[in-house]
Amino acid sequence: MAAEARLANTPINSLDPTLTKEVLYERLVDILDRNNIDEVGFLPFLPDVSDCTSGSESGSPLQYPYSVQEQGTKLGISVFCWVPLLDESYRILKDSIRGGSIEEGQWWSNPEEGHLDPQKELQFLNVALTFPRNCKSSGAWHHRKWLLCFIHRDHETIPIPPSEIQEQLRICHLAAERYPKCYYAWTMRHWLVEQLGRYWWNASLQDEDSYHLVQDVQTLLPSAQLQQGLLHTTSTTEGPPLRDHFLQPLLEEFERMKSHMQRNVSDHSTQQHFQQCMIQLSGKWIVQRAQQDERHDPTRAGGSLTTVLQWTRNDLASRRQRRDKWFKEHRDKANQSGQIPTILYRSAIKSIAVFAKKINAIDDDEAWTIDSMDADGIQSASYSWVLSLWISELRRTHDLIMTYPGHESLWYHLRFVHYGLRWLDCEMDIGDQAAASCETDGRIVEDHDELFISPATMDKFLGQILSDLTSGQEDGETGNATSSLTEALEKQREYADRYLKWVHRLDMEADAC
Amino acid sequence: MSVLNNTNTALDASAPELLMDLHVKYIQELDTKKQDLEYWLTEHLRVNGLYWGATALHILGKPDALDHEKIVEYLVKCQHDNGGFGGHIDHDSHILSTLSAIQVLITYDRLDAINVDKVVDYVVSLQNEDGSFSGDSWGETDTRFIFCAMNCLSLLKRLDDKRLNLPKIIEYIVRCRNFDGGFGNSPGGESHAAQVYVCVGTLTILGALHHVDVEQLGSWLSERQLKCGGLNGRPEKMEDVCYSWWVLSSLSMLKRVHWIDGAKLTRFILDSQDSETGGIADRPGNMPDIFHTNFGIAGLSLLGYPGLVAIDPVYCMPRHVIQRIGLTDKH
Repeated sequence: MAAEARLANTPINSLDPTLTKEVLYERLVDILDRNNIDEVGFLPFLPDVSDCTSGSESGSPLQYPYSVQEQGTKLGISVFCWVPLLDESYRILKDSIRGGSIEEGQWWSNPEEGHLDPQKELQFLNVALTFPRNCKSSGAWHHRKWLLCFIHRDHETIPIPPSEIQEQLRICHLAAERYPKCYYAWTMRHWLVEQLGRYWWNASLQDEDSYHLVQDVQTLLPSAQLQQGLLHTTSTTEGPPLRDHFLQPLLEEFERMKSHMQRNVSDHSTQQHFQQCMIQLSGKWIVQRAQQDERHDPTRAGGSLTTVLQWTRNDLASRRQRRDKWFKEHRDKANQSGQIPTILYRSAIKSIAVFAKKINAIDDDEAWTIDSMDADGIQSASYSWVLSLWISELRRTHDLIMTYPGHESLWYHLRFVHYGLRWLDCEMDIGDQAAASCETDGRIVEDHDELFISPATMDKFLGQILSDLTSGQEDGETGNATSSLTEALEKQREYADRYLKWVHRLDMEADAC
Repeated sequence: MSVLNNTNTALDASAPELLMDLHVKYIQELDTKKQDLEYWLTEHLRVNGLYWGATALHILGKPDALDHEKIVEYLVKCQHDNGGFGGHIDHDSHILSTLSAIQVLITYDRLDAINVDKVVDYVVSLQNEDGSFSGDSWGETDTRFIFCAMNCLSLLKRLDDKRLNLPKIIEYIVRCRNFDGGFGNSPGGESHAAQVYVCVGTLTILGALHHVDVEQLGSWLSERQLKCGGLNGRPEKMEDVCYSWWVLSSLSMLKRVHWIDGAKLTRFILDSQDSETGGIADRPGNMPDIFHTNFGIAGLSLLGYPGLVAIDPVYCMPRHVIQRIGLTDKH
């Protein structure tokens, strides 16, 4: 930016006296009116007149000093034009406001009267985003969200069409490619998946007694709205249930982020958004009931749900204590009663494994991948399906950490997955599986009080990390490792140490200030 | 009682010194570069720029380096009928510039120049039902704006306004807390050191710090320090001088400043100075700007750099000013 700023501070009329700020402004407006520009870039030089006439629809020499290419879709603006353009356009904007031609609160009401069209404004924002620096503007992203909420004024009760959300997700993805880690673009993206997730969420919260879904989203919507085709479906009896219109794009975003994360292992923002997708897909199993919005009304489509993760160490400890209390009570009862010996699991995850006859498959990666679960598991937002989501992610994160050593973001992501599994492992509300007992063949079987994930269960993974570090260190001493690999391994050790400390801290009671 | 730091931070003998006089000159000359691109691009930040400049000068011990009367006169022109201040003359009211204006006026002890009741009306009007605050009438929400509101009303001694719903504000901040102990700009937003500062600052002002997991958050903040000594705002981002403030002031409110290496951070900030023009950049070798100049100097003050005026970690204003207006120490 320093080099650009130095160039931009050079007065353009010292390079070409004919280029006054008025001339620059008028020519730019003319180009925007006569072409369909979808991308803007800056030129670190002043082009020749001859370069500015090629590639445009009109071929008019009045495009100079702008460059229009690709059949009038790409616009190059010389860096020398910036200051005079800012000067002139700002003057015109202030004059317009003072002249009252834009009335606050009535901007969108009537395009014919010279007011702004929200759809065109959205398209303009798409073009503005092609300039990387603009991706950082919180105002631009808020304006985008404001426009969407204006166009879909009733989005609290009638969902924004999934097709529109997918289009906006596409824009966010382009922004992520141009300017990674742009905080406001990712915040917008979270909001978009939340719009998809809220209907999925609402469905998963409907049944308080069982984890099976009992109602379709469509029953929550007045039939008149369906007839208006707001959800782009012609019939509620044909095709997949309406909730799939929200679940499918959510699953696509989840897969897209998984792939993006693989290609951007040091991008913490990507991983954080991926975590948001996991949260949205996990429904009621991940968010504390106490945090649900008190205005939640199951008859209201989409509801006013708080899909925010509210995990604290103290909450995790309370949850653990509740399940441990149940475990102790059942164990004591079983020991005293003289009944057929049972196996009790302190771990809710292991209980489900027993119930689903997966007891031999606790360590079997194949058994816990999402693809191995049947479609009903997904549709019903079942605890089992959510578990497979998280366990698959644990395995995948381990693999990424070992494949790409020294990336802090991956270790942070591991903390998130670890936390989630600890949370899920304390679940009580899984119906008959809470007892998770199964008859034995008469042998006395000891109770299993190991958790699914804990410092004790991390030995295999951390052992592999240590082994890699040791062989890396040996290569470094013999000169067989590059300095960048040595540095990566040093960081890997540091992050592994921090991770261990973090895991141990999880079990300590949190103190406030 | 001395307003200067009375602690000595351990300094690297080979570290450059703080070029105090050159930074004063840099700040004084800022408003003269009216044809520069950056001057244009930052017009909407003019009032914020005044706050950054005035605060930096006070911490450098040169409170009179800018013309107080001209500044007050300019700020009065930036106040609208609704009580809010715009970022510059003819710019719409916004809570960011409203806070900056109030901070400057209080620092110069010139609240008498404006209509304080109208400022309170404006700020209170921006509170939303869910406890968040909008930045302006167009509704953008961000935890930064909550902090601006609480900071502003606290400075004006108007936190007891009956129109405010303080429990709801605390509840909203708690919803922005993440599993890693950090805070984002909205519920579910990525933990970011600047958002941590505004959320911890809000909870400090409202006496609700018990909602913070100090060990978790303190550890997360201490992990922002990189090998070069500088601090970043999020994992795997580059170091930046402004995080010397956002991270350090948060650690200060949590009583954990000793969890980072102060000497290395001091060296990093000093290396980011521009020894020709004055001013401090985001990192060594880059162009300086008033934003990083202020927060670099503020960070050095928090670290106890000798010769600097002590700064308050909650309000980011000279500590003696906060004491003058009767606000108890919040950390």
